[in-house]
Amino acid sequence: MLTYSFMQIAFVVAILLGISLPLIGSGIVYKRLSSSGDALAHSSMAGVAIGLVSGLNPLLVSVIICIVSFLIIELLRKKFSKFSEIGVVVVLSTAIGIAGILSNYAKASNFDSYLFGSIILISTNELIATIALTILVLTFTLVFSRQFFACLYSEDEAKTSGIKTNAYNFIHSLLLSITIAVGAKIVGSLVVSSMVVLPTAIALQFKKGYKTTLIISVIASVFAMLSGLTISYYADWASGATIILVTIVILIFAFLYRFIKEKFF
Amino acid sequence: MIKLTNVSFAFSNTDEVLNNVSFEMKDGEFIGILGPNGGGKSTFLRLVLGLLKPQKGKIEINERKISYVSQTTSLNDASFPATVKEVVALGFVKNKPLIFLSKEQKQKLNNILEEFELSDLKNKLISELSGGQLQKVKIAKALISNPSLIVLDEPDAGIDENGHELLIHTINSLNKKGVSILFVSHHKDDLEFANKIYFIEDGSIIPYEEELKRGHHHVNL
Repeated sequence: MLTYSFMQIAFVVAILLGISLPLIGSGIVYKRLSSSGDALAHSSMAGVAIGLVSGLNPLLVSVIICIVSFLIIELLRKKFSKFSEIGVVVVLSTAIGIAGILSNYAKASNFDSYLFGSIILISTNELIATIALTILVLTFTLVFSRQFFACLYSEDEAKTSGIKTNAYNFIHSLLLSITIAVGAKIVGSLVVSSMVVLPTAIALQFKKGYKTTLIISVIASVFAMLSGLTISYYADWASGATIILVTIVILIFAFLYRFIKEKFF
Repeated sequence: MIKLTNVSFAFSNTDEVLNNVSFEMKDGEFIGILGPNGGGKSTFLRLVLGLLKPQKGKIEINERKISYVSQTTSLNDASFPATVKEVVALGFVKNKPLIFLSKEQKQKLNNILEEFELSDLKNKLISELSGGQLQKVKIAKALISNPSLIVLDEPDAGIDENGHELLIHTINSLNKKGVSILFVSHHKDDLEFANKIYFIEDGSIIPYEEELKRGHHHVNL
């Protein structure tokens, strides 16, 4: 399998996305905005459709639409502070509407590749984009992990002690939007929304601290990506769908581990 | 120094929460704030801390290092993954990158955990702590950064008698060392060492003695 260069690249990209998706996704899980990952993934589809129809670079348009979508979600979240999911629903519905209409005018095969992903058909530009993105996400997580953790713990306390909470939240939103847009092209829009959330859900079952939970989520995510990719190669299944099913199986085992530990130990 | 001059504040579409309020707190003072729920205590604190902007009036704050112990944090969220040690160490965090704690910071962290009897719990998840233990964690986090002003919003909720005594003793001894204290409470007993006590109700702030003279002594106090 690894004698093929396209599979070697697919494995490298799987590892890189396996690292960056849960690192940047954990923030939305703790902010109770898991569904915003879904809204952004659908926004990326709308962006791809706009790109394909207008002749602009679909990945670039997708990144821009994702960023705008997240800003709208945040704006509506602040406007309707007690009903934060309203923003997610507005963006999700709009994105599905735009993608649905414009997909009629885009070349079907192109649009499908963005919908379900094409990890074994990665261009050099996409590989470079994934490497650059992973470096950015890793740098943000390593260097400003405690600042972002302080924002998650209590924005008011963080602001009072002089932490620039708006700046850290904005950088996180920006990286999240770009990660989802790039990830959607590679593992598919429908899959990426799950991969920003499920690894954190798996890690939370082990009931560890903030740092250890992040590390476990990355290990689970990379393992799911690599084993999903391997199974899909030999079984001739769709790679994105297989990765998600493997992740769900890991989540079930994590639930079982927690249940047994709490019940018998 | 904190000075509020003729400050008014209202959330959109509501009546004024604070109406033409003036207040002054000098460096090193211990000021207590009492008042019923919904009377505007938390709004007053959020204005003082710069978390809200007043529609009218002027707020001057001349404090460099402020620690705020708020009522609601992710500590109230049972699924938030954080250990006692991780939360208390947040007190060190500013905007400069802090990947690893320095030797001095580790020592200080261990000392404060010891002082608040949290050493044995340092690797425990905050979701597994009792209400009193949680409050100790919040206060230890606030103290570790050597603040010049500590603002506490009802920090004794859910705390046991020992924890309560430790809290009052700690706050009092910090004040004696020159740290300014702004303490919002439901109970006047918490404020026995305060230099001044104010009462906030219906958008106004008045000295507690005046409130007593008016005969509006609140049942909770």
